[in-house]
Order: sequence, then structure tokens, then C-alpha cells
Amino acid sequence: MKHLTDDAINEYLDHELAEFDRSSLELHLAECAECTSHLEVLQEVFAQLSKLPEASLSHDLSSGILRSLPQPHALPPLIRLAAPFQAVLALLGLAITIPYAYEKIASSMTGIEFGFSLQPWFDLQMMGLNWWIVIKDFHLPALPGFTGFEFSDQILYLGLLACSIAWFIGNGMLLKDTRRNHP
Amino acid sequence: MNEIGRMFFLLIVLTVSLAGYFLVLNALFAHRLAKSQHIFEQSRARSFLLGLINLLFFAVLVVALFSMAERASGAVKTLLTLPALLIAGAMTASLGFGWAAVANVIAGRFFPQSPSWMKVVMGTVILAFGGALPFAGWFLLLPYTGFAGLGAFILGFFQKELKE
Repeated sequence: MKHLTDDAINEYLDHELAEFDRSSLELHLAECAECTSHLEVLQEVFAQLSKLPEASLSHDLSSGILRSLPQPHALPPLIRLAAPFQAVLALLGLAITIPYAYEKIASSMTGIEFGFSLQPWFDLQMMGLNWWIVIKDFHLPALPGFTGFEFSDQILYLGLLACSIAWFIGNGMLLKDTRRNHP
Repeated sequence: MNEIGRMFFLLIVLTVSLAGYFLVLNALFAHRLAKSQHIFEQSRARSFLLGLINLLFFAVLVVALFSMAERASGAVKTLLTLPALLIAGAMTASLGFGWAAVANVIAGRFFPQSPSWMKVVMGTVILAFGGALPFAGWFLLLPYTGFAGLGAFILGFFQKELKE
């Protein structure tokens, strides 16, 4: 008699056998004491394994593994920052120059109708100019009864320097290893 | 008496506005606030120090920029005022997030079973009334919660996702 293989018994225990294979395997088990005892041994092994506690690693290996994986090729950070900056500058340049360019072209090509007006663009430009003036004339609101602190520029810049150093060192220390030692 | 009544009215109006503001923050930035809240509870000293040095630095920077802008003229003045306003706005928004997280933590301690919107409102009321206490509230409680909340908010950007 041909006995059942370990793979077949494992698949039977995992309920991965098709209905027909399952029936024929059960038929064999009913007749073969050796395979039945082998099945019982495997069942016992799996039962014992499932009772074992979850083993936890003493070190988190994930960061090391992730570091060792090939990194996707990324653009240098300077270029990534420069690209949107250039795009904004280019858009600003276009916004400022297009109405003037249109005026120049329209005046040099007398008799030709363009069929569209750039008045909304001029309005937008005017709005931007107004905002510029508002910011230019901006003053901090004065609090009633508060005359403000009088300090010299030297003290202000020295304070700024001291705060910058404290900021760099403090942020460096406080944000150090935050990715690893999160709370 | 009239002055006290007016102050009290102002406090209530401000508290209601703050509660509305914090509710909106909770609705739109729930994940960011939950992260700040978690960090505030877990590492308060670190958050406090981080908030303190960042607020100090940016406040001095804004004052320096405004001071330079006062003496400048034309385009230079605008170029100095604009970043100062942007930084001041960003710091105000960050402080708002920090205080919203603190209000959530306070409410979580006192009203753990209440619905979330009620928790936000109650946390804001407690924080606002506590902060309105003369001297101790103005100079201790509000700065402390502000610095720690801001620090927790900043730390949230540098830490990994919370474990489920």
C-alpha cells in the first residue's frame, strides 16, 4: 500500500485539498493505521506550536533591512527645491510682462484685431500692486496703554543671534533620534 | 463692575470662538491633532522645551524683521514685512494646533465618555477659563500649555506614525 506523503497530510490539515482528494485521503486514512498515527502526530505538533507564545526580537531589524534595500534614485534636494521656485518666478515674470508685451505688440501691429482683451489681467496686476502697497505701509497695531519696549538694534541683533544658536542646538538635541525613539 | 462684566463677556465670546475654531481643527486635521495629543501626553518636557525655543526664536526673528522693515522703504520694506507676516501667521496657526491638542487632552481626562465634540468644547472652556486667571493663568498656565502644545505639534512632523 502506498502511504500518504507529508505534503498531502499538511495540505489536508490546512484544509487546502480539493473535495475529491480530501475524500480519497480520508478513505485511505480509514484503512491505514500508519498514516492515521502520522496524521495524529502532525496534529499534535501543530497544536503545540500554536500554544507557543509570540517571540519578540530584542532589536528592531526593520530599519536596518530598509536601509540595505536599494534606494530609488532621487533628485538632489537642491534641484527639487529649485524647480518649484523657478516655476513660481517664471509665472510671476509672465504675469508682470504679458500685459505690457500685449500692449507693445498691439501698438506695433495697428489694424489687426486680436479678438480678446487683457483687461482682467490688468485688473489682477492692479490688485497685486494694491496688496504690495498695503504690505509696504503695514504697521503693527498699537496696544492701548502699551508704549512698547525700547531697545537698541545691537541688542536686537545680538538677541537674534543668541536665539538662532539656541534654536539650532536645541532643535538638534530635541529632535535627535526622534525617528527611532518615538514615545 | 461694568468693566468686569465687559471682560467676562469678552472672555465668553472668545471661548465660544475658540471652541468653534478647535472643533474645525478637530474635524479637518484629526490625525495631526491625535498625533500632537499623543506626543503631549508621552513627552511633555521635551515638547515644552522644543516649543519654547522655537517660539522664542521665531518671535525674535519676526520682531527683527519688522524692526528692519520700519526703517526700510519701498520694495525692501515689503520684502521684509511679507516674511515677517508669514512667519507670524504660521506660528499663530501652530499655536492654535497646540492648544487644540491640549484642550483635547484636558477633556479626555475629565470627560472620557462624552462625545468628541463635547470633549472639544469642554476642554476649550476649561483651558480658556483657566488661562484667564490673572497672573497665574496669564503667565504660567497659558505659556506652559502653549509651549508644550506647540512643541508637540512640531514633534509630530518628525516622528513615525503612531502604532495602532
